Amino acid sequence: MNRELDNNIAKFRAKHKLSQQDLADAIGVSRKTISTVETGRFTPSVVIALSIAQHFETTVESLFYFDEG
Amino acid sequence: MNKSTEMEIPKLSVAEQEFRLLKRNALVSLLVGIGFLSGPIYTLIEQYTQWADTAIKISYWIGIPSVIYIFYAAISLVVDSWKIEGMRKVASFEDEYSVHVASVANSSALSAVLLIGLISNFVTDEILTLLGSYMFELIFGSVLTAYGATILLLLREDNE
Repeated sequence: MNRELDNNIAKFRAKHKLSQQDLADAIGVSRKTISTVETGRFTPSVVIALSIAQHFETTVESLFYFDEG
Repeated sequence: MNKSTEMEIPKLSVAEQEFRLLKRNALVSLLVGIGFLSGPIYTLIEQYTQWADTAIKISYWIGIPSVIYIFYAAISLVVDSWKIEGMRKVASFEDEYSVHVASVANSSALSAVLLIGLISNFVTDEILTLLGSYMFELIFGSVLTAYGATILLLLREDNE
């Protein structure tokens, strides 16, 4: 079973009209952290996942999901 | 600088400051590493090729700006480290990606040492004797080069 982690962060950002830098500043990480998480190059900790979810007032499950291709 | 100009400059978060610090450290590490490696590399070039003069010219072109940059970076590193609250602790980062990058770079540095150990088993005795007096430069240079290059590779713009 090939399970790859994917996410909807870019969509949520677009919906809230936030740049990567805005989101990074809001949750206290670098822009690079946000960009690498968005593109799937870096898997964030639960703390960052929860912080992003909390910022968008949503759940972690709606931000991150398994792309079972 | 007047007050209005000051307000236009966004204050960098600790995470962004750490990120910049890591990038600068990596460049310094790479340059110092190459500096250490230049001795053993020159010895090999001098012994086995006709390019010793060219190597000296290249080393001046690269070496002089590098030394100037390292000097500048060393001073600004001390100043910046003091500014960043989290960096007063020894090389601990708050930003998660910086921690990840530093960790991968440390692994690369260790791999570089292991690689030198492995390669030294396969080279001829003549080369081993030639590089014997450069063992410290070879190991230290490889560690620093691997550490710096890995960080710069992971922090490059298109790795996003």
